[in-house]
This record gives sequence, structure tokens and C-alpha cells, in this order.
Amino acid sequence: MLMNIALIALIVLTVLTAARLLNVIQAAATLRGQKAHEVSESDNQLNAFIWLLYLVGLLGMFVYLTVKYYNDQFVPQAASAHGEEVDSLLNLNFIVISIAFVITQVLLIWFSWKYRYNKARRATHYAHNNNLELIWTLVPAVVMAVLVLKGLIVWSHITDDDEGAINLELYARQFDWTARYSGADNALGKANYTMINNDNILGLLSAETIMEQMTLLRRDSTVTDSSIVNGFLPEEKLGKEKTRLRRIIHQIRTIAGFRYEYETGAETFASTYDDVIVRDTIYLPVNRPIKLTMRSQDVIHSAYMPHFRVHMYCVPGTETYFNFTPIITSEEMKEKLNDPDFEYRLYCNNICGATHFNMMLPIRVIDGEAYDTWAAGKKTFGQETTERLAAKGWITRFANNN
Amino acid sequence: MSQVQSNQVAQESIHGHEHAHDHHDHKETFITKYIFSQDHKMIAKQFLITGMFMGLVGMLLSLFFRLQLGWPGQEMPILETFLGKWAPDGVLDPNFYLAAVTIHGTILIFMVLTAGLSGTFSNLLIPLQLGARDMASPFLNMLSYWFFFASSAVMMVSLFVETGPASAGWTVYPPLSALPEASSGSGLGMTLWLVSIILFIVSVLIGGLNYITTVLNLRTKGMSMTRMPLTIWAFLITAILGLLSFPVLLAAGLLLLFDRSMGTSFYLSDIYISGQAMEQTGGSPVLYQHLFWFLGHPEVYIILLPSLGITSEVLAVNSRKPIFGYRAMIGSMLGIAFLSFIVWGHHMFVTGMDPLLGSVFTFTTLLIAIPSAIKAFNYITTLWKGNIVFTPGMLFAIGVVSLFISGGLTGIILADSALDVNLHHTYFVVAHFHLVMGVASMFGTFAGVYHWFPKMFGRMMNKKLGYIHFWVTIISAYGVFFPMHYMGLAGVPRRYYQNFEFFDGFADLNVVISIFAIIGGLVQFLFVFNFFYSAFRGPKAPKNPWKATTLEWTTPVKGIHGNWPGDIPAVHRWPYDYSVPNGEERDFIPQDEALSEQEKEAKVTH
Repeated sequence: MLMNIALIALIVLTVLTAARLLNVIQAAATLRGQKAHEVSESDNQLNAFIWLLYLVGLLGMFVYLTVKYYNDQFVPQAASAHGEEVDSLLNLNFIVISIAFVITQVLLIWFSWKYRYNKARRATHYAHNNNLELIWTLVPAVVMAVLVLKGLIVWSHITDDDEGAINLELYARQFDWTARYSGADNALGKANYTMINNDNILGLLSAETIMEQMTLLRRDSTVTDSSIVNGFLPEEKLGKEKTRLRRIIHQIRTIAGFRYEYETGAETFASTYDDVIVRDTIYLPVNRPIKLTMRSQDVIHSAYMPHFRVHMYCVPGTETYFNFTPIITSEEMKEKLNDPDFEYRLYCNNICGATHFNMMLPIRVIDGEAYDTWAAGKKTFGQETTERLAAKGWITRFANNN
Repeated sequence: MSQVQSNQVAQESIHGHEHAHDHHDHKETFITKYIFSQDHKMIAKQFLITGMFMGLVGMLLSLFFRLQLGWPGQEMPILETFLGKWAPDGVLDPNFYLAAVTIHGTILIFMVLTAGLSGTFSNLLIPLQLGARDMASPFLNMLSYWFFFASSAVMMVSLFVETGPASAGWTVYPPLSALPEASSGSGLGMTLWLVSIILFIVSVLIGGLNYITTVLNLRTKGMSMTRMPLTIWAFLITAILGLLSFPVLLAAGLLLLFDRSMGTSFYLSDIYISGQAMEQTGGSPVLYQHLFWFLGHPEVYIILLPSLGITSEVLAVNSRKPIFGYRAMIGSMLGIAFLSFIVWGHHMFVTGMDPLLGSVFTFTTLLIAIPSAIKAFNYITTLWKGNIVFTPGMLFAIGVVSLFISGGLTGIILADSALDVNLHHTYFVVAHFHLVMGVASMFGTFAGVYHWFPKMFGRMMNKKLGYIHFWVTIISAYGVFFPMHYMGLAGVPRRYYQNFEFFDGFADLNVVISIFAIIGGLVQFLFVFNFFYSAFRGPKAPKNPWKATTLEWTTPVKGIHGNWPGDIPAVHRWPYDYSVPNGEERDFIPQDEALSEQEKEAKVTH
């Protein structure tokens, strides 16, 4: 407390002293016959000179930073097929804007210095020149036309669908990633957010998970219902419990629809069973096209893989897609960068809450054979579900019900 | 012309009445003069000083998160002194980090660079440069300020609530901003944020209507649209942009409010949070982004255009030359304003929007480069063969052009959907918009304050302090934002509490950036000191200190109610008659000076 008072007193005193000092300086200047609104010869010269230093500094910084940070070490070469096109487009743009940057800054600062005030001279009354203005309308227009055209070509390549791509889902939630491989049939099984529980975080639909979720929900609804009916809850909690019950009923109704589809044979949910869920490291085969499907459980996240020049929002309530083909394996990249710890990474790049910055998953690109072996060794979702239900002793019960 | 004249007469008769009061027993109390003032000059000062206060708050918040980014995890007792429970043991809390980022952006964009800039200079200059006694509706003008004040007050209050201020980024994308379960800042803090912004929109709309009406109806005799200074053109176009785009933000905000509190599902769909599956289905979070950016992109020009208008004026006055290509400047501003309504999708290339739409938005966005290039080259040509006086205002105006170019050029890269994929939400974007929109507009504001300070307070600011302020600020601005481009190219995401586990190559660069930010922040206190000191103790200003041609310099030094003691001056020429080769010693001809015989003849022969 005492410290704070002392600090405030110090600040007040400093301001008062500065004001006093400025007062004296200004009075002295007035005595010397200087006018506060007129810029003196020496001030003009000094500022003109600093502009020159500024120009040198600005261009120097530009060159220094570009050499030091815009190179293979800090911006590793693209590790995907479309990424190479993106990079050459970026380099073209970078060159064009660098030229424009240097020309305009040099002219601006050079003129500021060269035409600094001189009592003996009069400025040239030069209000417009249609030809000049036409030139600097047309030149940027032509340059822009070229850049737009090149950009649109690359854009169309990025957004094209690749034939025979491996279907892979990236699923985001606060604050982690889950990847789902589509398995032998290369089709992702259906999912719905009402199906989500601790053991089925993606909300995948299958006959077993539907029964499991219904059982869990019925139990929850009974507990919630009785806690409401008993009437011991305080007002605030009661409101929350009522919301919870409403939500559970909505869930049960939605899932009943899926169950009906299954029971009538309209839907078998067959493609769910061979899906493989991965939560630690994503493995990708080199030189095979991948089609990413992205979903989110709660808020908007964004799947960002800078090395592959891949970026797409994960939006709750809808699916988004991105196609790409990795072309450099992790091992090759480690050698190129001379960094034995190098990993490709998947980041979240849309603000999603407190630990947004920590939402990350490593990616390893390996050759096709190694990938096939790795994939064959993974447990499928169907196997995991069966084992889980067996452990709970629920399988037989479902069988009896049917 | 006859319409202008009849308005003129009407205005005279209205204000003639008030004038009589001035001379008799018109007693202005402290409250009517300084608080609920209806005088445009006082309202301008209110906007400016409120904007300056909010600016300091916004800047302080940015220093808090720069400390964290420069020295992640380091214990800094000063943070605990300021933030208490939000910085336990002097380490910034990740929730408050996001809140600081959010409120910094909101305050700077809305409170400082929209209200503080447009509010100040539109109010000050529209009547003075057009030759009007006051705004079309002084009462609405007063309301506009007080809505802004209320909005700022609510935003300040939100900083102190238990669960923390809004922390979903200044764009407050739902569902994060809609669900208190998703982030503590999405509770009461977010509600206050929305209330504050709604009040703010009311302020902008009332103010904008007033600016537009005044410009269209209250110009003095002879002040045709093409004789208006470029400042007024900029304010007019800005007000129109605001009037057309802010209502859309209001709609977006109201729908968000409904989603938050009434169980609607405009933006919410299929969400599972806190162990429960919400009932809302069928909404679209991307809808919010469309609505938001429909305001959001014009907003960039609402911020930038007034600053460019001020720059045009200050450059012309201090290079003692007419602005080059007056009509092209107006045309390019109109072009930019029009295009700003059809480019919003370039903020959304990676939201899953149809790729075809992406192509269209790339095309329209890159078109903006053309009018922008015209403006930049016209500024440069204005300096050519000038006779440049380096007042502090002039330094800041040249600074605006330099920053506008540096920041604008990288926009060419970001506008390209193919390139934006990898740069979206990285530090490249942070660098781009801070230079071209943030710092450039801030510099425009400073140029305006230094240039028109004599008009506001009848006194001069200290030049030497102005010089120090300028040079330290521009060097710090480049020191902070230029290196960020390179972090962005390497893929460092923005809004990360700490990056450097994965991007450790940039740890030292982040320290440098933070040091520049601290220096640049501290030197602003020099400006604040200069401002308040000079307002009370600065040397008295002459009537026309910069030898400018525009009408505001024909009013008495001590601003009076109604602006001109006698008749309003009539205008006979455009505002840029500097260094006309007429054999006179004087290098400017005020707008209210009648044409000489020589000039009349020249006109006839044309």
C-alpha cells in the first residue's frame, strides 16, 4: 500500500516537473523570437535527415528479416502436392509486392527529403495529369489481373477432388483432436452428436452403440426426473435439471429415429464397424491422396497443418472437407531440416477457449507399405465396442432384447 | 445553387436567433457547456478525450499480453498489481490472455478508431470546413456522444466482472461466444460486450445520419460538392458506409443475444458440451460470420478513410501544393467504399464456403488494390516538387502513406484464396491489418490532432515533443509489426497464449517485438502529456497557423457558438489553391477569397 502511494506520488511529481520544465523552455523560445507555429530551418533539416535514416532502416530491416527468416529453415518447403504450387505462387506475389514496396517507399521518402522547405523556392502548382493517373491505374490493374488469374488456377487445383483418396476424419473438441480412419471399405460410418458419450466421443452409429446409448440415457432420465419430482432441489439447480431432462428427451427421440431406421432395415450402419479411431499420432501414407472430413463437437475449431499448406474450419453442425497429398515422409523432412526431433503437426487455429494454444496432434508421414502394416494392426471401432460391452456384461442383454 | 442558398438563409435565421442570446443574457452553465453540450466543437473534444482514454486502456491490455508473449511463464509482479486474480504470481491467466486480446481489439477498432477518429474530426471539421453554424441536429449529435460514452462505460464495466470480460476474440464467433460452458468469458462478460456494442451502433447511426445531412444540406454559398476538402469527402463516405453496414452487425448481435438467452438456434447446431447434447439443431455458425463480416469489412474502411482524408489535407497544406488528382482521390474513395461491400468473404476462405464463392471474393478483393494504388501514387506525387514543412502533423501524414503502402501490399497476398489458406489466422494477418488499418489510422488521428489542435484549444502543441512522439512511435510500430509477417509465413498461429514449444526459432524475435511494443506504448504518455499541457498552458495560436486555405481557419481563435461572428463566408474556389503561380508573395489563396480579375479571365478563356 505504502509502495503504491509512493509510486503515485512519484508519477504526479514527474508530471508536474515536466510541465514546469516545458513552461520554462517555451518561455525561453518565445523570448528568442521563435513562434510556436513555425517550423524552424534546423527542425526541417533535422526531420528531413531522419527521413533518410528511416528509409535506410526500413529497407535494411526488410532485407535482413527476409534473408534471416524467409528461408527453408524457418519456412520449410511444402510437404504436399498442392503446397508446391502454393509456394511458387507465394514467391511470385512476394517478388511483385517487394518491388512495389521498395519503389514507393523510396519515392515517398526521397521526395520528403528532397523537397524539404526552402524559403527561396516556391512549390510547383501541379494539380493533376490524366496520363500519369491512367498509367498508375492500368499498371496495377494488369499486374492484379495476372495475379488473380494465377491465384484462381491454383485455387481450383486445391479445391479439386482427388480420385481414390483415403477418407480420413478429423474431429475437434475442447481441447483435443481425434482422427478416424475409414477402414477397409474406405467409407466413414455415420455419426450423430446425440450419440456422444465418454466411450463414443465421435457419436458413431451402430446397432450396438444405439442400444448402449439408449440404456445410458434412460438411466440418466430416471435419475434426473426423480430429482426434479422429489422437489428437494433449490430453484437454481431445479432449472438446470429441467434443462438437462429436456435435452435427454430430445436425445432419446433423435436416437429412436435411428433405431427405427435400423429395425426397418433402411440403414445397417455397416460402414461404422471397420472405422479406426486414433487419438495420439496420425499416420499418413506418402504420395496417396487424402480426403479430410472435418467435424466439431462444441465450438468452431480449425484444422491447421502448415507444412502441408492445409487449413479448414471444423464447424459444429456441418462437415467441411480438404483434399491433399503428402509428398515428403517425416524421415526425409528430418534430414532436410537437419532436425532429428522434427514432427509434422496438426494445430487448432481458431480461438476455441482457454487452452486453445495447446490443442495439437503430431502427424507422421510414412511410406505406403509401412502404413498398410500400421493400419492392419489397429483395432476397429466394431471390435472396441464389442469388447467394451462384453466387459460391462451388456452384450447378452441386448441379444435377449432382440 | 439556389437550394444551397435557401438552406443558407434558413440556417442564418435559426442561428441568428441563438446569436441574439449570446449577446444578452445567454448563460451557459458548466453542464450545458462541458457535459451535455450541443456545440459540435465541444462534442468533438468529448469524442477525442473519451477515445484517448479508451485508447490507453486498449494499449495497456496489449502490453499485458505482449509481456506474456515475449517472456512466457515469467513471473512479473506488475501484472499481479494490475490484474489481481487474473495473474496469479504474476503470470497471466490463459483466460485473461484471450480476454485481453479480445477487448484490446474491440476497444481499438470501435471505441478508438471509429468513434475516436470519425467522431472527433467529423464533428469538428464538417461544420467548420463547410461553413455551417453547427451540425444539422445538434441534439442528435449530443445523443450520439452520450450513447458512445455509455457504450464505453459498459465495456469498461465488463472488465471487472467475476467471470471475466468477453474472450472469444473481437469477432466473437459463436458457438464459443454463445455458450458460457465453453469459456468463462462467454458469461456475463459477453452479455455486457453485446450491450456495449449495441449502444455503440446506435451512436454510430445517429452520428452518421447527422454527418450526411449536414454535408448534403448545410454547405455555405459556393461550396459545391467538388469544392469540398477531401477530409469532408472522406467523412461523408465513411458515414454512408457506417449507415449501411452497422445495422447488419446489430442484427448479428441481436440474434446472438437470442441464442444466448432464449434458446433459439440461429447459430447453434448439434452441439455437445459439458456432458450434454443441446437441443438446438439447424442453425449455422457460419451465418454469423457472413453477417459479422458484412459489417467487418466496410468497418476497415470506416476506420481507414477518415485517416486518408486527413492525410490528404495535411499533406497538401504542408507541401504547399494542391493534392494531386483531386477528382481521382474522390473517385478512388468511392470505388473503395463500393468494393468494401462485396469482399467480406475473403475473411472466410477456410470456413468451408463454396470454392466458387472463394474465387469471386478473391477477384473483388484484388480489385481494391487499384484505387488503393491510385491513392498511394497521388500522395507521393503531391510531395513531388513541393516545399515541405515538417510540422508534427505532416510527419504523421507521411507516416500514414508509408504504413498504408507497407500494410496494404501484403493484402494482395491475403486476398488470394489459394495463399490465404496457409496464412489465415497467422501472425501474417496480424501484421497486415495492424499496419494498414491500425497504425495507419492511428497515425491519421495523430496527424489530425496535431494539425487541428489550434482550432480545438486555441493553443499550439509543443513541436519538439511531437517530433519525439512521431519518430519513436513509427520506429516502434515497424519494430512490432514488420517481423510478425515472417512468423506468419512460418505458420505461427495468432491468439496463442504461448507458441514457442513448437516455434522456438522465433522466441528471440518475440522478445524484440515486446520491447518495441513497450517503448511504443510508453511514448504515448508523452503525447498525452503534451496534449493536456498544451490545452491549458501552450502558447496562444494565431488564426491561421499553417497558412491553410480552408474555411475553419477563418473563424476566430477562441471558438464561438455559431462559429463565425458575422456572416458565414461564401466560397469562391476549391480548397487547394497553394503556390498558384500568380506572382504573389503569398503561397495560398483562402477558399473565401473572390476570384481575381486575372483568374476570371482565365476561366472565360477555358
